[in-house]
Amino acid sequence: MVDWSTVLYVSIPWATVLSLVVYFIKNPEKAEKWLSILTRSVSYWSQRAERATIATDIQSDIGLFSKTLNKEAGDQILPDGVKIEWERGDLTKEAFLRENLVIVRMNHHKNQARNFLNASLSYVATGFLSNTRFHLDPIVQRSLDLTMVRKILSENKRSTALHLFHEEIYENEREKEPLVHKYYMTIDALDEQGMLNFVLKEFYDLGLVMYHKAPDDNVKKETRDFLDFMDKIATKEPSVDVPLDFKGIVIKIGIVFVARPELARLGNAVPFVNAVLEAIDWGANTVYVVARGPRRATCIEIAQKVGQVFTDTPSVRKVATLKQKLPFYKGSKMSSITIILKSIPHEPTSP
Amino acid sequence: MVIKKQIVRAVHDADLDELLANLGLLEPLGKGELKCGLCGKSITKEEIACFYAGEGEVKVSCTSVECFEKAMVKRKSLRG
Repeated sequence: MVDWSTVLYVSIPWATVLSLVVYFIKNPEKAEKWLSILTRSVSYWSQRAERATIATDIQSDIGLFSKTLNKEAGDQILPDGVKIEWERGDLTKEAFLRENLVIVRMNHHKNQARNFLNASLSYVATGFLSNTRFHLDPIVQRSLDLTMVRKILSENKRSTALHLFHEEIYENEREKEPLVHKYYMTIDALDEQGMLNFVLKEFYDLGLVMYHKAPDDNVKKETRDFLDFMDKIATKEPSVDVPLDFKGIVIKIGIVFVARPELARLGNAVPFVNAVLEAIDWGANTVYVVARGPRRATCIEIAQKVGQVFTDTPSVRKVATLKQKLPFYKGSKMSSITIILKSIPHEPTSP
Repeated sequence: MVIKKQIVRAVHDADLDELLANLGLLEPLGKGELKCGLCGKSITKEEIACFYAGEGEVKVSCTSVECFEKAMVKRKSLRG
């Protein structure tokens, strides 16, 4: 006869261990976080543990940030985390030059705020929108970099590192170039309105188009114009109309808002489908159908209907749905969705 | 799926003096002659943010973000 108490006694611990293993395999950054906590307790006696404490703590938090950002944006905006590789003091000058190294200085883990800041700066300076960087307006690039570093620090609740960032980096940058502050604030407003993802997606796509080309001043200027265009949309009053099409050399987008109560009340997707087709007609590569506003349930439903219309059409295709909680014009946070539609270039037909 | 992580090479403070000596930077540092390779400012040991290779020499960057970023982009391509 089966002794169920013995079966349970044996199987529950094993099931728990197995669940933890699966969880850590699926979330390696969480495993690193725990490893960091464990190694910290012995770091005073072991240099190896001290290095592991510093590295795993940075790797886990930056890894989690990049995973979330890439998932939200739906593109590889940042590399999948960071790996700290330690160089020892016995490295020779010849080896250093031969390998063309760049080595970041890390302090004792007691000064982890500085370490985290340096690792974040390094990660962003080389990994963030890596194909696009040379094609961005320098002010735009610097403002985006600063925003991204600040987001890594703030979303990981690194208050001391954030303080260092503002005091030693941001204030200097702002003093040297006031426009960096202007665009830093613009990007902040876009982020607040859930539109930073649009900018990141467009810049990511720009990198795909421009990757093999020489940097073009007109394209660089376009990236700044694009931020100005987005800023007008993000900061407009609800009843004010602003241009919703951006017709650049590389960046060509249309934005369709499903927000007006008088249209939303009808529950009819046709006017919005027509707006998408109009944008595709003038040559938009991407159309963002944004549902938000006071009648948000109806708006979201309409936007989803628009997405369904373009699930399998020859000229336009739904590529992603972004779901966000956003403030509705200085109010509390509300659900919002954005349907992202891409135009499909026509293949020339053979005679 | 290939997971592409960005490599950041680092040196711990405990190894800093030995590294400075091996890279031939301890003497100029002692004489107060070590300068940021990007902005030219004289720097102390505390102000070293990173080491990078430039013009056939090992150089150091100060903690200014502008200098630090310029040094960072000199890194080789990402390694997965």
